[in-house]
Amino acid sequence: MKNKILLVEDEKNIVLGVTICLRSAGLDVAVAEDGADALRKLETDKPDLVLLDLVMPKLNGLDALQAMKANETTRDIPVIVLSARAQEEDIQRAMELGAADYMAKPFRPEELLAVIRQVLAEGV
Amino acid sequence: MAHHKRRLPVVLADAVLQSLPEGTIVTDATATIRFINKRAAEIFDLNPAESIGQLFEAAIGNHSLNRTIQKIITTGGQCLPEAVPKTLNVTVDGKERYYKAEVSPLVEEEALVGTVLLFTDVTHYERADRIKNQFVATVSHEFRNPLTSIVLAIELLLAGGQPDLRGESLALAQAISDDAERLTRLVGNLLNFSRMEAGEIKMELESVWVAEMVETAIIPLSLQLKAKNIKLKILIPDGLPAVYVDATKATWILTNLVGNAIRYTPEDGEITISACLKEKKVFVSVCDSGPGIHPRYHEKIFEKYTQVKGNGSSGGAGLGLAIAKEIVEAHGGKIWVKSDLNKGACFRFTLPINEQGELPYEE
Repeated sequence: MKNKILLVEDEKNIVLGVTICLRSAGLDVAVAEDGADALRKLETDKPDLVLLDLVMPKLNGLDALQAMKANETTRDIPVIVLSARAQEEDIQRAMELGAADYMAKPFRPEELLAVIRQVLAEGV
Repeated sequence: MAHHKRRLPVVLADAVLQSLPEGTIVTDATATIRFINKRAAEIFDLNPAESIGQLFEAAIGNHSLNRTIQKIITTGGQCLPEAVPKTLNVTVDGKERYYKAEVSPLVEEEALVGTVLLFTDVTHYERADRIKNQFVATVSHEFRNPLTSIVLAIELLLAGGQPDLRGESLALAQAISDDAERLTRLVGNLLNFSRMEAGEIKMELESVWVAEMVETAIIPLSLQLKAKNIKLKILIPDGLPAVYVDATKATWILTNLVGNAIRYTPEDGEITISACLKEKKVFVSVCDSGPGIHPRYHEKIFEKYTQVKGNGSSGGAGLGLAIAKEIVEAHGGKIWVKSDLNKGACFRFTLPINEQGELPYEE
């Protein structure tokens, strides 16, 4: 069965690139535009993994991550944080909140796929 | 007599020193304060009359300045002033201010009689620098999102082997990919530098083998090495002690130096990375067979935003070496270059060893 990835990202050009990258690697993709949308889609789409941007309107990534980890039905879904804010304290904060990994923007398609595969493999 | 003619009347000399906008302190050769002007008294919140006759360290309490004074005194004024003057952060009348401190030997009749300290207000430079750093950091962050979609889009096009992408279209796509990578590097360097200037980067020291650092450092460069068919020689002697460094940052220096070396080395050229132990420090060298650097630029290239023109540079922000220098100096080391035109360049830096002999952590 195809793994399903929920991409939480408000930049539409990044959504386009990541979606094509994941689909061409045989993954299913659902997209949420902000943190609040992500929390809804976690329930409906039941993804195997979440790619989460940090700086977003409505509910930011760290808050969404916190809410997700506080919810019993979603807390075990691994999250890879994608962010332009690649500062050490952000990485540390995301990891403390339970992120499985962290990718600093910009990244190449093969780098993203390698991290996704690794996190999915660890979850098995 | 000629000897007396050179001297200002004592009263006038005192008035001049008191009226200077710079803080001035004079010590004798025992580091006892012999003169302090009004501005210096304000800076350090001292009563001028009371501080005269006190030892500098007792009155001012600045250990680092005191060390410089002691060094000048013990070497009879022979030690060279430090390349980078110290900046003091003090609160004067409830306001935060920055002063550049310079210490010079006071010499009379060719003998050292004391030291002169000069404190120049550089608050406005510091503020401008801070605003600039914040701006650079913000801009670098903002660049990362558009860069992400550019990198993803072009790499997907190139990797997908699009049938329409050939000839000139392929060359154009490759140009976008190359320059997106260059822009990524620039943005990363700008951000690193602004954070380092702002003192935001913390050092996490650990014991690391140099050979392992080299191995990690060249991973991101393997494609570039292959593309130019450059031979990379690594000469690290067995038994070289582990260095005690912030591994990520020290590795970054190597990646940066080897990356530069690749850019300047012609196709089929050679780059050598070597290391040796000397005076309880590890000396690491990265030597290339590129066009070399004119001795005129040997110091300048380590200054930020410096580019040496006309040497086939592929263009950068002129920050890589400035960052490398900051990192090396944060480890208490030095970095320099040896090079002559047309004879390649050798960048060398020192890293501290772990004197307790603690071995690196093995996974």
